[in-house]
Amino acid sequence: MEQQAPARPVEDSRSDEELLRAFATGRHNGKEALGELARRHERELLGLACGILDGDRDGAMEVVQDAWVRVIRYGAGFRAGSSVRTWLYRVVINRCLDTRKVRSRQAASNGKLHGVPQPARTDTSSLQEALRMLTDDQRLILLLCHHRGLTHEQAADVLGIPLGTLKSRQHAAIAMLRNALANGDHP
Amino acid sequence: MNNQNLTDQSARDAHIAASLADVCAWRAGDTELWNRAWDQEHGAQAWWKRGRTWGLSAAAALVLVSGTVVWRGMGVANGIAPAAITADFRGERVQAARKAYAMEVDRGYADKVVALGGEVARVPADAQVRATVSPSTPALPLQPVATPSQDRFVVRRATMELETRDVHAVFAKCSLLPNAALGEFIETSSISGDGDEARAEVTLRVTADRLSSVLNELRGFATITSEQSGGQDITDQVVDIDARLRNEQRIEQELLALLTSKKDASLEDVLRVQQELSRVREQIERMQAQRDSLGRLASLATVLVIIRHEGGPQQPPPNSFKEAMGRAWSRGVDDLGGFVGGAVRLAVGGLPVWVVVGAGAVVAWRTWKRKRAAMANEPAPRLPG
Repeated sequence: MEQQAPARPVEDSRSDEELLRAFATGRHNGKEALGELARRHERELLGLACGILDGDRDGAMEVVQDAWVRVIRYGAGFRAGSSVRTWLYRVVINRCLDTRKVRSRQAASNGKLHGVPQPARTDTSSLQEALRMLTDDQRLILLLCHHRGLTHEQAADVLGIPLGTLKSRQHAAIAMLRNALANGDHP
Repeated sequence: MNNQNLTDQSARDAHIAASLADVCAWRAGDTELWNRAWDQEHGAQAWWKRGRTWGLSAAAALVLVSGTVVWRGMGVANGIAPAAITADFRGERVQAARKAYAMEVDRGYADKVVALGGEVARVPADAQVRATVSPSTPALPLQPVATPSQDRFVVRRATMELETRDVHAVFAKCSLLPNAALGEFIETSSISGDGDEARAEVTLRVTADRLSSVLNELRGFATITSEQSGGQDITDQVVDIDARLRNEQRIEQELLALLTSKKDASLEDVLRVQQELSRVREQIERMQAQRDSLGRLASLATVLVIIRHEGGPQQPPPNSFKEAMGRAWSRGVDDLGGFVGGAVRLAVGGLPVWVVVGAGAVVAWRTWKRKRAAMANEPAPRLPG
């Protein structure tokens, strides 16, 4: 007897902007539209936040939940100056950078490493250690450029810089990382 | 050697890229964080927070409006806007108040007469000719008003509304108030209806000197529901007539002197002088009559007493549908006028408050809009380093 494969949910053909509009106006089942938007982007946003926050999953979840709160509260006022995806990424990145700032201030006042969550060690831990050697600027560009959710053009759009600038900074950051990995001067 | 290095470098770069992608991969299961965010925004706690904000705003607005109303009320009580509001300010009382308001003394004219002829006695600076009393406040003592003997001519009027269980008895008592020996009399009187619908009206003419005592007696007859009194200063008119009268009398004396001194004048001239004398005497008599009339008007005050049965209708029942419609229309117009007047007073009187509130609301609205717009349009991250 042939086993029947589970039915895949029908993909919503609406664009992100249409979904956000549908959510903001509350028509065509607004909550469903928000759910569809989340299904498209939540995992990528969580991954990026986790990378920026040095593998802190709880922190990443908190940041992304805040981003959705922002969408719920202010989605109606969103103007199409950029895409919804760009807006979401900017919200998450800015929130992550704020969190990092707060944590570094706390660490400075409470003593090194105290209060900073320690990421779980994985097979990529050596790379994460090397990433810590980079500046926040270089690390962010590397994570965005190698992140599965965005193309280089989209990453440049999120950061608000020209594509050429992004690429040159990316090369410089990779060279630094390569050296850091080759020298093994990370702890 | 170089090729080997390049191969190693490419392999290392590929490894780095893969590792970076791996760092940014989310391996945990579905998190449904958007659902949690939804609950956070629409849950009971969110409603409580929002309700608290709205509640505080509503309370603040209520305090502000109450403060304004109380402030306005105190202003009225302190006489800032006399005759503007009374406890029951409509119908005939509106008319009476309007009339009283129009009776304000024009002291400027008296000053002009003084400057021209020096004929008028000095007017006391504290002259006050009207007072308004609402039922909720104790009866105000009437301001001292000079009588004709004190070089001041004031036509006094008072209206008093009384409520009693025995309209006929109070009506009879009112009728006995005028003192005929002093020239006082009942100008008009009427009584109608029985029981709850009994209603009477008496218009008394009493000497100005006795007005206060008559009003005090009336206050003892029944419950006062409304009391108004006012006065019209006619000193200017009297002074004007006196001056013209004296002038005409001088002309009369001169014409008489002319007739006696020019005995040899022609008949035509004598007739012409006599004709002129006759005209002047007619003028003098007319002015004298006017002067006497004004004097009588000032010497006798008018008191309108309206007596109703306690809890009875404010007006006698209408005799016809047309009258009922007329009354309804009149009352509607009065009420509308009262409402519009109240609204205008509130708007104009509270203007400073409204300006501050409006400016605050505009600033708050614009700030809120700017904040919302800023939150809805996230700026690009400011890259550190």
